[in-house]
Amino acid sequence: MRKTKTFISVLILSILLLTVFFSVSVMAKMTGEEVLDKVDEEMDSDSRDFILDMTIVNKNGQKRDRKITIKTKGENKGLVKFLEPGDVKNTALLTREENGEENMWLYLPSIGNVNKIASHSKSGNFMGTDFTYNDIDMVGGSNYKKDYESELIGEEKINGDLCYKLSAVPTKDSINYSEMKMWVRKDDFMPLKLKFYDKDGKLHKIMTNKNYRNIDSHLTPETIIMKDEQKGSKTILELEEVQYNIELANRIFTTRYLTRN
Amino acid sequence: MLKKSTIVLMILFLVFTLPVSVKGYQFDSVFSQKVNYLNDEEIYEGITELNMEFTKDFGMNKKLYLNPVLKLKLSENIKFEDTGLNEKPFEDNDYDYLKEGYMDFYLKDADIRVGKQIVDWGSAYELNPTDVINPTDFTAEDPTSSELGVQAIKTDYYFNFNTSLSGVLVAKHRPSLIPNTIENMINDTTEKMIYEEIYTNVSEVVKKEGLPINPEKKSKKILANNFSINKAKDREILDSSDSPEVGLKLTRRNYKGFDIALNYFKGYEDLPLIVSDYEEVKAELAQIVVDTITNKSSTQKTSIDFGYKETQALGFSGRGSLKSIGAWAEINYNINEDEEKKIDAVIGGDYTFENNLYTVAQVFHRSYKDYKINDILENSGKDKLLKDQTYLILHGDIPFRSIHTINTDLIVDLGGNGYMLNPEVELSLGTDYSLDLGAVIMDQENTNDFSTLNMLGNEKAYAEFTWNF
Repeated sequence: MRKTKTFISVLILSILLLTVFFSVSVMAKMTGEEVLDKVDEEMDSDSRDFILDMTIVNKNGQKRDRKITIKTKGENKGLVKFLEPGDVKNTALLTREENGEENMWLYLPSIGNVNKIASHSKSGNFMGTDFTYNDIDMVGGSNYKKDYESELIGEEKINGDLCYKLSAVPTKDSINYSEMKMWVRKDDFMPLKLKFYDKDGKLHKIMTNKNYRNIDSHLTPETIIMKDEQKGSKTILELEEVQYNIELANRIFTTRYLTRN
Repeated sequence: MLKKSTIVLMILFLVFTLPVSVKGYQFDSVFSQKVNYLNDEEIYEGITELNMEFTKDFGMNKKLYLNPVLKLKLSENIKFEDTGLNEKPFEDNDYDYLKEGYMDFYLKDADIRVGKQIVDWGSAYELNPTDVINPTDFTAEDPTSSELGVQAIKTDYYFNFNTSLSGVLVAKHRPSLIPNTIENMINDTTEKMIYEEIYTNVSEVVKKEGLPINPEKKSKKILANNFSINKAKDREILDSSDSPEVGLKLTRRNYKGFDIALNYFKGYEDLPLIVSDYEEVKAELAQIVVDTITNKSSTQKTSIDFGYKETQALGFSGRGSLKSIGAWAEINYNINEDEEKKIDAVIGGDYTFENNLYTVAQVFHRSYKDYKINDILENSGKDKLLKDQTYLILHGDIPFRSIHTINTDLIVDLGGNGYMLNPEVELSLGTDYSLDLGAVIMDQENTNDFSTLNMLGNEKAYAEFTWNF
């Protein structure tokens, strides 16, 4: 009887060990695409509503403050709107993806009209920040898989956290980077650092996500810094308010709503 | 009757007291101080402006918006203009103390806006042929972005995300404001033309009758006693009761990658033209000349009336991408009550380079057909007032040190009549402060017409400080 018990214990332990071993092997053999899938899965939510304090810091250390709100619904609707200061207040960007095609409309209160943005403009800087239109869209809701094809190129530690290191190339012409390198924390698949390279292969920008906080079961960085290594400027986003999976009406993501102050 | 200054004070009182007592309001202001050096006049002028925006939400479905603007223009010869302190009559609409003031109502599928408003149509860069609802303030610092509000009801009905229909009913036609120099030039030209007509008639009669009369003296006397010019501005008030306007616009977004719109407008032209029958005036002048010479005097009077002709317009605009370049086009066909036709068309594109240099290239063309004023002037051996125009418009802006911007606009008359260059540096002094330094450099061959270039202002250097609070 005792022998039988011991045998069962050893068997269970072996099964457990084998499970762990195989899991670890599978994890270790994850591809870049699978890592990106996990990143998107972990960061996914039906909707989100952020209010962020934005600080633009130039090469000389001069700072300019802004406040923005970012709302997203599903994978294909996004709205970015400036709340402060007065000279950019109510400037708003609407992103909608339909039939695999991403469309953007910009509302500038000074013009009083909603204008469609040409595809190439999406790689231009968004309202004087170090984020491009595409980058700011990504802040709202990651979905890296939609824009990049990635390859796992190793593992590295970032501030003591072991990370997958990915090399990703954009799949869309509207993204003006030649490559993105990404460090994804192995523990929870949160991206900690992203490096963007220009068309000549030179390092252009570094995006750093800091101080992840669990909000409504979603890990959310409290600070996002986009640094332009070539210009020496940076844009800092500090999380002020965030809500996940709230009811956001479809009408918010329309050109009609863009013009409402 | 309430004077404008009283109304302004009432608005200010409301604006500054409501925030204390009302919840759900927003109040934003922009203070700006501009100093111009006018190159032609060789004088300095200062323009101080306080632009206030008050927004109050009444629940989810109603919103009040008020945009009072106070402006003080002080030139080197200590001349106050547009201050409201000189007690201009209430009917004088030369200055907008309330730029816009309206209520918005948001219904399930429609938005309704009631009150004084600016309706922006078109998708081209700065010059929008289909933007026909509001008149332009050509006396403003930057006429391309200075539309005048009109009392109107606007309804936007949304069939779905991609399709919407806008309808605008303007209660009363409001004309564009044109600089005094151009208005005086038109009056002088008209007077000169009429004088020459009288002089020819007098000379013929004097010669025929062999009378000892100095034709020049006599013509001047007839011009002064028997003829008058009625300005459009004065007539506009008289005709105001029957001058509503309507506009319709059908918008389709994302049609094969383009946002397109069709629009129709029925209303009045924004610039004043001669509305009198010139042949009739000529006949009356001939009769006056005969009566004056043969009977020694004539009580008969005739006049040339300027006014705003009834007109209809049909327009199209589209905007999207052609490969990696943003592209747009706009066209507006205008035909007035005398079957005089005007066509405005724009085609252009924009591109952002990797270094964030944003560039625009656009061609604007305007052509006039069958305009009687041109025929009258041409028959009198004078230049046309309304000339066909083709402009190349180039714009570029690039940020420097992340927070500052360099802008340049260039408008070149492809007919060889000159250009306007406007380089500008926007310096961000703080989150809420900025300083713009720039110059407007003009080179013009001809200033005796209604050309767009002619209406864009004077050669100057300027500095403008802006504070948002």
